[in-house]
Amino acid sequence: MAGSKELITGGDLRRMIAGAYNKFLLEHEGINQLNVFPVPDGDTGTNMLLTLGAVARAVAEAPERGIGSLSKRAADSAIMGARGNSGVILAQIFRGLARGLLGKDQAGSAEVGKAFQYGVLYAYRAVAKPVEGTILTVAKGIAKGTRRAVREGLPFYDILDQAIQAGESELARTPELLPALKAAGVVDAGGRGLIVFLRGCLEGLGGVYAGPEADVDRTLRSIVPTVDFEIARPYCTEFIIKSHNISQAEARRKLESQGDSLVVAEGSDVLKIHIHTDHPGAVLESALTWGTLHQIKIDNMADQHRSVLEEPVQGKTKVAVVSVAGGEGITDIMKQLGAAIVIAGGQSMNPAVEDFVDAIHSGIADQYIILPNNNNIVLAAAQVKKLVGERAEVVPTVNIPQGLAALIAFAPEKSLAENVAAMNSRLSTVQSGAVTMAVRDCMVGDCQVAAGSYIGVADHEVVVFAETAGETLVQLLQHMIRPEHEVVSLYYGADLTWEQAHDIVAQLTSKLGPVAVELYFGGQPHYHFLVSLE
Amino acid sequence: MANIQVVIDSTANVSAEILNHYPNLHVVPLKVLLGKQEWPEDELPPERLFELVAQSGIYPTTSQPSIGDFLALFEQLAGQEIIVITLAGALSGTAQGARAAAQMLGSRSIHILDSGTTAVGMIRLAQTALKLAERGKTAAEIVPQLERMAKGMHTLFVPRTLEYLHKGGRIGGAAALFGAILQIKPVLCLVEGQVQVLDKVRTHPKALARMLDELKQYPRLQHIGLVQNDAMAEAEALSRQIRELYPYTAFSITNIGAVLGAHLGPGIVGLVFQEEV
Repeated sequence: MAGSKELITGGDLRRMIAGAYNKFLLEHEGINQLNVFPVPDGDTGTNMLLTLGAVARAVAEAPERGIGSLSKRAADSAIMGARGNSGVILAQIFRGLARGLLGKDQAGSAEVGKAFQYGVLYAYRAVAKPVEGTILTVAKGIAKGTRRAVREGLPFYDILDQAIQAGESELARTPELLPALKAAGVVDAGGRGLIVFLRGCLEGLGGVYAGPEADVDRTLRSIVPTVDFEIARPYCTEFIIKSHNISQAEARRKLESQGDSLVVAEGSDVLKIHIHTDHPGAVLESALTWGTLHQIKIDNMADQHRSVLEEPVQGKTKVAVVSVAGGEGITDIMKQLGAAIVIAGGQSMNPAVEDFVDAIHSGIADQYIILPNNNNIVLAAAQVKKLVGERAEVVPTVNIPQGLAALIAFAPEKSLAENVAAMNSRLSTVQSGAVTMAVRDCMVGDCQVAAGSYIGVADHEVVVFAETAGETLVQLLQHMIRPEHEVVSLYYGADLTWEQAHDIVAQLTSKLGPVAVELYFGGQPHYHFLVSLE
Repeated sequence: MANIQVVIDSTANVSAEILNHYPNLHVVPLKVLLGKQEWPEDELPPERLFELVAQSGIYPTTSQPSIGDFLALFEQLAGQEIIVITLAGALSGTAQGARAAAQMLGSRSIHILDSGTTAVGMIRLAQTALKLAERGKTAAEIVPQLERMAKGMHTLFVPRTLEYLHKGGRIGGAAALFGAILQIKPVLCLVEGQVQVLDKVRTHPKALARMLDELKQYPRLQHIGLVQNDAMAEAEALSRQIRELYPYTAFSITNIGAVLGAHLGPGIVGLVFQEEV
């Protein structure tokens, strides 16, 4: 096929994008495996796949025929569909392409080559502090290869081929540039993703790929103005029990069978109950025998859900917080602290730029504060800010404890600027850690730790490991705690029951000295405990 | 010329010493109710109140002085200029009661001043009024000065528990905090007499530190009053920091009375400070 293409058309671009998407469907898992960090984190392969999926969908539906207008369409959808840092960078490359092909019906190979170079430039600009040894290094290599091939007057197919070769040799260098890659024995996942992308383009262009039109699964998108709920248990029931004659554990045991999303929290002399049930009456009947009931609140969540969908502009506020969380316990806590919208996502599932934009378009407030609550979502949040301008500000929280600390400072009656300042000032007041299971072998200090061991993470570094979640938590806290810490908040994840978490914490308190330890239901996936020290 | 009489309500928790020192200073008590029992505030030390709450499990309520209480005092002081200084009108109907009594008497020589604060803040206003009166100022001259002074008065407090505020229904803007899953410690303040949340933090020591930070926003102060109840250790630690920061500013530590105790609970630490006017 080489040399057969001198003019690139809109149709070629369509086939390239479909080819790239198809290639990603096959290879994204392999890219996910290139995770440096042995924790279940935002998966680069999945993020790029989903970002490309948004592009493939938009381009497949687009009526445009010219390469210029079609690439604009691709860029717009990539920006909205971008997930994770790698998705955001990929979207920038599409933007560059669109910029280079602006107004063209078809383009010569040199023009497309230049457009790719624009893309690399945009990608660089999107990252606040570009680091070598990442996707950017590979992108630069690709740009260099492209430039050379364009100068030699090669046909586009060969330009792409050369670009891939240049990119691959840079990719091979990434472990030399970033010690973390070398230690893990992998190349950069985002860079690898870029190569896969170009290979897919090449296959699509050359017709090597002959699959059906990409069938893009939309169901992965999930913006959650109300928490996902079982419609079979529609009544969100909350109340407080005073003068109770029942322990927290006992109450939990008795209520567990009556619904889901159960939270039994102990306050000073009170128990606070939250449950989603199909029989609120039965729940209240049993609770009546344990003490006096107060502040009883029963909502049909189907109504809430409907009202969110149908009439979002009710009691518009000045400033609203859009936060991100995985796990319904964390989601509930964030809502109680004043987050108006909690987008489902986080460690293992990074929301798309579009999810944030949708949240902002819900129109519930004049201005918005975005809390990404994850390192790998910060860049997407920054893109949102670029798209919506002064309607939103980002408080760049990189983990859930930071997100909660920032939310505590949120005061809806204050201005956007006052809130952003107050919330930013809290980020440094909290130290964050987590207990999880290693998803692959790794080194902790000089020790080899096998996949499946429990590991404790502090400040994005694996610092301890042990046989059990409880022992790991003890070691992690002993590693992290300082005399100035006053409270340790533990949020237990979906992999633990309340009893398990409670038992672990009961054994913990004697080992930590004079600090308050509070245990909350987080419900987050993968992480047995999220830890916050203040 | 006629003496000027100053009337304050019992939430000022004025000491016997000050009362003896100023024969022209009078106190009208609010009332504390626990179950079916009722006490005038000045006859129920807050420690005793908290004991009774612990024994009975009943939370106290309070009521303003009756109009009759004001009428009786006003009649006793008839013929003289009277300045009445009450606690914040948004917290209690005391100012309203005093106004109603003055209207019933048709007297033009009774002046009612809503302090917008309480506790030591009211004592500061009363002392200023009495001193100005000694210097021969008339009520018409004194009241506007007190009003200016009241505007420069700031009231902050950190409760150890939100239970009492919640029970008493005076929780205002802090309502949203009660019943939340995550334990939050608010720093509360009075804004135009109403309880509002100044800030929210995670621990009690941080709340006290935040209150101190707020104080630091005001470099020129006439007086700093630290108030406390059943929290002397915390109050003393805080007072050392304040005195270091403001070595030349008048400073006092006082206790709060049973009415504020009934709404704020044991373990309260607060600041009532007064800007230079």
